[in-house]
Amino acid sequence: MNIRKSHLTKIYYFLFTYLVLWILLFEFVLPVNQVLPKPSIVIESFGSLWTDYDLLINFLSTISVIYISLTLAFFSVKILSPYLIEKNNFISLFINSLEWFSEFLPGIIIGLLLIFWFPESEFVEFIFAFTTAFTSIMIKFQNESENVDKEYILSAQSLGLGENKLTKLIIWKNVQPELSEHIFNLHFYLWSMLIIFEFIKGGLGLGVIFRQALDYKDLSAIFSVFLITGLTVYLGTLVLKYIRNKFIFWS
Amino acid sequence: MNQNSLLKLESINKTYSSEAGLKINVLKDISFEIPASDGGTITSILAPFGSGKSTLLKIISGISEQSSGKIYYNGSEKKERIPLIPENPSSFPWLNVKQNIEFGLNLSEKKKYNLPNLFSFVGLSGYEDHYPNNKSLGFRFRISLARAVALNTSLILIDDSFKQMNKESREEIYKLLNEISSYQKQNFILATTNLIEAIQLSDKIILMSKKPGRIIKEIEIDKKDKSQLNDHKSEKFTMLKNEIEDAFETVESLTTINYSL
Repeated sequence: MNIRKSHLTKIYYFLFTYLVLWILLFEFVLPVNQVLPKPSIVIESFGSLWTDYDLLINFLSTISVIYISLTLAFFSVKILSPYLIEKNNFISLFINSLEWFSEFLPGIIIGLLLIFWFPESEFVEFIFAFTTAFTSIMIKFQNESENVDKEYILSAQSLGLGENKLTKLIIWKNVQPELSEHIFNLHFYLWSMLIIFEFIKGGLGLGVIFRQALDYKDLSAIFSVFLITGLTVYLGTLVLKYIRNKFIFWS
Repeated sequence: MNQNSLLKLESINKTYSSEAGLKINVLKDISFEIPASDGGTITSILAPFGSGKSTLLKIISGISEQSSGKIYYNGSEKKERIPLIPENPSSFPWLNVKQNIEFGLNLSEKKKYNLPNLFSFVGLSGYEDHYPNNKSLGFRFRISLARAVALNTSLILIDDSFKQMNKESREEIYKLLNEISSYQKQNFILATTNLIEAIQLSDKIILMSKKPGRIIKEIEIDKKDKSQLNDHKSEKFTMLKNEIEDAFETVESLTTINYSL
């Protein structure tokens, strides 16, 4: 945990240092160039994002798809956990076949292929996000449930706990610390995949703004959306951390 | 069938099949009886590592099935769940002390135990809202013990739970078990590899051999001798220790019984 914490701190220091460098170099030292826009122009372009690119609707579309699908996927796995812990049912066999397939073709490539395969629609985008989150959380739950300390299971069984309740009250609780760590990674992965989905498919979302700004060669808009996305992902991580500290305090 | 027995095991055998298809005999022809008594008793199963003690406790607890043989609990062959405190006493870290102790009670339809009295009896009074993570092994054992006692069953199983505790914690827990056994009339079966622990705690010691575990000898200890047995220099203690050592040596020259305090 400490290694992860110091790793994150390094990332924040890295980003902060480069932000300061960007302001100093591109605002005051270097002349206007095609590499990065002047910070003052980026700040001015925030206004045009609202008027020219429908920032509010696109922003709300992306974050609602990400966080609703993540929440629904988490609770779906929780509700289905007594069923999913058995590896010989249809859902488990199908998803485990995908896991096996991902040994040959990385998950991000499968995700990209699915993006091209799916038609363009807000509902399809939501289904894509939900399926990705559900699959990922389910595989992690199944793998971690094999590592649950047998002492907990023995104690609970000897107190009269049946199989269904054993999964819900003991195994599900036991895997929470690992699952919450996994959700941090999944959060980043979902953001990346959905921005790519929107960029390729169009419709609504921050990825669509990237696409339009690229078409107009509006470098400062691209940079502004990038900053907004980064800030939102960071705030999302803070909220996830708060939830973990509040509800998985024993981890 | 004797109605006055608390627990009776008749020719219990347990065989596992290995992945290679080999039959591994873990327990062989285990038979013993714990009579029902007005007061509580502590029965120790003293055996080396790998003798199948834990397997035997799981079978008695109802978690695992024997391959053959019969178990009678309070004179009946009907399956009962008997609380088992495993090797590493496991209190659930996401529940506080009170919730941990109520965990078993919430699953059973038995009448609520007087919890404030129980908290005080096991030394957890004032810690009801505390969480067990980062607490000592002794503290977590007290939670597991209280959780089992709260169920009001006539028997509790303990699987070598003290071996990782320091001497002071062990002595406190021995005292606590003796008190619960005497005052609450609670019966315990304790699986252990520690001879001193078995002598100091038990009303009856059952000696078991290495795998396949089978019973070598049963030694009844007179309640009157218990105070003398707490003195490791006493004649009674030495005699009993020698008797146990001799019994093990007759069946196997090398055991992993812990003879130290």
